[in-house]
Amino acid sequence: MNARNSFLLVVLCSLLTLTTRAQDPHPISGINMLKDSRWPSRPDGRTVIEVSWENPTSSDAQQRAWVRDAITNSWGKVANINFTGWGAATASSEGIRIRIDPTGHPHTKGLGTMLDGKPDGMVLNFDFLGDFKCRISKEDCIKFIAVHEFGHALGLAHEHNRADCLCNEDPQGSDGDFYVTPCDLASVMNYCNPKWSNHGRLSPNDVVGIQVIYGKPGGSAPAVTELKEIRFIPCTMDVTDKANTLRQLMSKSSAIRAASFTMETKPVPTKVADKFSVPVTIRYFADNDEAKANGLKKLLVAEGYDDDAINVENMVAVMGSTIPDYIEVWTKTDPVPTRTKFDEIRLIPCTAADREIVRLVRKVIDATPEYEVKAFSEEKNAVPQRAADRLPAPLTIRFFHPDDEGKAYGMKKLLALYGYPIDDIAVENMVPRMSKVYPSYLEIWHK
Amino acid sequence: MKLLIAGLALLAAGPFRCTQKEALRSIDKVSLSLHQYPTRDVLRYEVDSSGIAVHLANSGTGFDSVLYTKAASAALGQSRQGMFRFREVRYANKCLEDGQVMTLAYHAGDSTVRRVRFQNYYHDDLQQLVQFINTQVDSTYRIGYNKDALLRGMEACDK
Repeated sequence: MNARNSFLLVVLCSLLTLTTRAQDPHPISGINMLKDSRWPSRPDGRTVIEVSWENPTSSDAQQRAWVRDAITNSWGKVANINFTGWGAATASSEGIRIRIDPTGHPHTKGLGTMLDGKPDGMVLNFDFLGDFKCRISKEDCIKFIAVHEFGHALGLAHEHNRADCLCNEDPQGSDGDFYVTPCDLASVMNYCNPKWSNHGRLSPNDVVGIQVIYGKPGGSAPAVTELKEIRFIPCTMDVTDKANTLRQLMSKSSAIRAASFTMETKPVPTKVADKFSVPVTIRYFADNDEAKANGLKKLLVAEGYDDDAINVENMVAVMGSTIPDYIEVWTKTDPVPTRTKFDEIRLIPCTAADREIVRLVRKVIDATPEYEVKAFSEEKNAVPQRAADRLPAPLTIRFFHPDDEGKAYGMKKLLALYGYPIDDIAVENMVPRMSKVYPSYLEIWHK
Repeated sequence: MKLLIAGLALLAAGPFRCTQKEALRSIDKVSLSLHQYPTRDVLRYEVDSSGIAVHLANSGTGFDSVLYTKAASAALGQSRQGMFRFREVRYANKCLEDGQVMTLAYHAGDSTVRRVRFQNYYHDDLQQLVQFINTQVDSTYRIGYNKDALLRGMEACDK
C-alpha cells in the first residue's frame, strides 16, 4: 500500500462518522491586463482615446455605427473612458486606428497604448468573406467581436492565457501581468466562455476589472499617482515581509507610477520606531504630495487594510527642505489583524480520480476544530494538463493573502498528520501573481 | 574515415527513414482547422483517402456542418508529406491578439498523431499545404494565407 492510499485509509477511518456540508460552488471570475499598456488619464481622471477608421466608405456607415454603439454601451459605459473621434484617419491620427478588411481575421497589433497611432492597429471584418465566417447575424458578429477587440485596445490580454484559468484553449497573443480578480470564464476576453465574447456583454468581473484600471464613469479614482520614488522602511526585521507586501501591492497597482520602489535594509533605531503610533505611516516631503500620500492610503484601504492602521504624516515642517515626488512608507507592525477563519477553501481536483482525495481533505479540515471554513467549493471543470503540470507537488496549497501563509503551512502540517506524505505537499504563494489580495481564501489542488 | 562517417550516417538514418515512412503510411486523415477567434467556430479542412471536406464546427456546442466535399483520391498522400517538417508544436507571433490561428493535425484511426498550432505565423511547409488545398476546393473555400503580411507582422514583432 503506497503512502497516498494509507492517507485515504487513515482519513476514512478517522472520519467515518463525519457528515459533510453542502457544496457551495463559487463562481470564480477576472481580468488579465498588461499593466504598462494602460492609456493615460487626464488630471480629472478621465481617459480619452481617439478612434479613427483607416478606410471608411459610405457603404459601411451602418457597420461602423454598430461598432461605435457596441463600444459606447460596453467599455465606454461602465468605465471612465471616452472614445472620441470615430472619423476617417489621417497620417497623423493618434489613438486606435481601425482597418476594415472584408476577408481578414479580426485582430489587434498589440495591447492598449501599443496601438496608439499605429496604422491598422485594429482590424475588423464587416463582410465575412474569405475564410473568416459569421454564423449569426452580421450585426451581432460585428458588435461581439468589436467588444472583444476593444478589450485588447484597452490593454486586456486573453483571460484564458492566465495560469490560474481552467481552460483547454491554447494561450494566444500577449500575456498580461496584472490580474484584477481570479480567472473569469464569463469574461468577453476568455476563449473558453461558452458564449463567445460573452455575446458582447461585459461580465460582472469585466466591469469590476475595467473600473479598477480606468475608474468608474465620472469618477476620479483612476488618476495615476506619479512619483519619483516610494521608499519602504520596515521598523524591524520581523515586518520586512509585511513591508515587502505593501511594496508589491503598490508596484503592481495601475494607479501608481513610480520610477522606483525601494526598500530600506538598514535597521531602524528603536527610538525612531517608537515614534510611530500605528502599524503603517506614509510620509510625504512636499506640500503638493499630500494628495498622493492620501491616494496611497486609499489604495491600501481599498485592498482591505484597516483605515485606522495607516497614518499620513506631513514631513515638510520637520525637514529643512522639500523633496517633491518622494514618499516613505514605514511599517511598524502588521497592518492586517490575523484571521483565524477561512471564508472559502476551494478544492481543485485535476482529474476525476483526484476528487476522492480532495473530498477527504475537506473532511479532514471539517473535522479539525482549529479551522472554521465558511464555505467549501469544488471545481467541477477538468483542469487542463498545462495547469496541472505547473503544480509543484501532487497536493498544492495556494494562498492569496500574505496573512494566510501561516495558515497554509498549518494546513500542510495537518494533512501530513493525517498521513499524506509531507514531501508531496507544496505551499504556493500566489500573492505576487495577483494584483489584489484575497484574504481568508485557499485553494487546494490535487494531481 | 569518410567511409566510416557515411556508414554511421546510414545506420542512423536508415531505421529512422523507415520509421518515418511507416508513420506516414499510418496517417489516414489530415485536418487543418482555421479558428475563427474570438468566436468558438472552426472552419476545418479534412483530407482523407476519399477526398477533401470542409466543415464549419463549433468547439463549444458540438455543432458540425459539412459545407463542401470533393473526391480527390491523391489528396491525402500530398497533404501528409510535410508532417515531419514541423519541429515545433506551436509557431506563434505573440504580438498579435486573435488574427489567423490554425491547427494542423495528423490522424491515424481514432488518435491524433501530431498537432501543430500556427498563430499569425508564416511557415513555408504550411504554405505548401494551403496552396494544395486551395487548388482542390471551390473558390469560396480557399484559405487566405498571406505570406507578405504574415512576415511583416513577424518582423515587426521581433523589433
